[in-house]
Amino acid sequence: MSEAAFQSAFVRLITDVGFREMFRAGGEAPLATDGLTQAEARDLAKLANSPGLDVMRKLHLGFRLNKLFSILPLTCRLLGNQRLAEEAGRFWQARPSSSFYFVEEAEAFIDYLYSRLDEGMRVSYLSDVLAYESALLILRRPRQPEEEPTAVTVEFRNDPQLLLSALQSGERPRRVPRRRTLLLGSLDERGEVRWTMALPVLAESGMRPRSSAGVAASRNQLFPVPAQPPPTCPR
Amino acid sequence: MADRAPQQITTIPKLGVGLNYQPQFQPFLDNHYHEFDFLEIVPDVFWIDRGIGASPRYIEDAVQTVFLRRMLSRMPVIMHSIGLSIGSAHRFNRSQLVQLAKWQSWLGSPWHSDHIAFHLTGTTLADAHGFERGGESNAGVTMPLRRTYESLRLLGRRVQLVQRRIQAPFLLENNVYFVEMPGDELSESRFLNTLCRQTGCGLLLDLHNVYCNSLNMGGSAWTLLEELDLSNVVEIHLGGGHEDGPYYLDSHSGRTPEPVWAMLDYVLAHTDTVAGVVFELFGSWYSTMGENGLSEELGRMKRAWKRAQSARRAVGIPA
Repeated sequence: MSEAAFQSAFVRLITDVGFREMFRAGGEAPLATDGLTQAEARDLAKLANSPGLDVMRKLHLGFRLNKLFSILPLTCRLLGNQRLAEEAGRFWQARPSSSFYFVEEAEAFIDYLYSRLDEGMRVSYLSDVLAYESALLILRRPRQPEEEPTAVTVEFRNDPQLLLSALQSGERPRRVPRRRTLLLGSLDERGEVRWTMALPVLAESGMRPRSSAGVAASRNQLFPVPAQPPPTCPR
Repeated sequence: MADRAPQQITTIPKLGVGLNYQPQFQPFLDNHYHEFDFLEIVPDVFWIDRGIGASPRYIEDAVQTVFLRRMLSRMPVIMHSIGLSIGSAHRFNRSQLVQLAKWQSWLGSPWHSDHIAFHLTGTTLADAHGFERGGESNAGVTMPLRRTYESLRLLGRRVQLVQRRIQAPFLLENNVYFVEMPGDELSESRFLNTLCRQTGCGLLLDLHNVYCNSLNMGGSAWTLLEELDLSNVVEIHLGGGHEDGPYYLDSHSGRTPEPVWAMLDYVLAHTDTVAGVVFELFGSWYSTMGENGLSEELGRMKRAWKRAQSARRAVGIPA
């Protein structure tokens, strides 16, 4: 039990600044009840004062940030570096890393940002971009060979072509016209994501933009394919 | 723990020069596969673990697996996993082991490997910082183990479990350090030698990690190499890194530094057990290094490999 407690505390020295500060300040008392020997508590205090721990924290945070940059590049670009750092910091504080896997972390960050929007955070176009990148996650999720490829619809409030092309070219979108639109996403025979622009939504639902998954056949019936070639979202 | 016989280390086929897999390399792998002899993959990136209780637990990436099958038709594919967390005192990831065994059976890797590290911990400490008691945390980086006899006993039990489940020889990789671990009872060389002797596992010697540790922690890389029982070394990793303040990071970000090439020559000249030398590069650095840069690195590895094999033949030792 003692080694398990030591390893747990060692990781927390890296992931949790407050915890590390407690050790730096000499706070050993609470640890005796948690399976650490006094000698181990002293060892942890030594580690807490080691400058190498800063490098390990940087690597840990880099690993987590890389998950977000890799899976949610447009959301990260829309937020900008400062906002992203603030929101990722809050998210990481609330949700310690529990998995190596990128998708799980990205999905949790999407849920977190939706909850922040519900709390009143204002970031223009964020709902649209979150819905779009959520849909990409659904489409690209590893499938078993016998599994039917998924199709996904995404409802935008603002012109998706202008919004996404600005972000994909590395720009922060400005003055994107409001245009309620449905995009239908599916996978082609090579497994590449393809987007088809469905008819603009006529009725105001008052709901937040969202993505929803279903089987391709039923979606094709629901949303007729327009005459012009569908835009392809780069992977 | 009583010493165990080495796992058929001397009979492992000599593969030569390998490259690690990254999705960004796919065009390079398709067009330049004649420049290396085998591909090393981190199998964990080919599936998603949906967690304890989920059925199916692991969902494999069908698209990437098709690419892997194509590469397997060209050359051996070796598994170098990251998910066992073999040094976790909290628990051993047995489901991961079952999944690895399944992949080993279709890939037919001549050997497989993981890291002497842990990343999975229980959140046993009471706190006011968001951890739930009874939950789990994943550090996301290879956390170094304390070099103690207790660690050796733990690793010994886990290596046996791996060896029982997967018949191919199992290697463990030396770690990189940024802190002195208080409570160490053995030097790094003694720890690695004892681990291999007691468990029968082989050593994946990451020479760039050795180089990093000598820069960051002091001590001589050459002394470590002289003290190591090099007859345990089955695979070698090369790679590049970059400076970050006073530290040098093992970031797999480019070409192998010159001192590491000299270490490679030394190890290849002092043991005949090495079956493969792998260059590690992260996909995000591929565009910086470029196709030509990667080809040149692999070419230099091939020359070093052939030089060592020729020298061995010249003194009458089978290469």
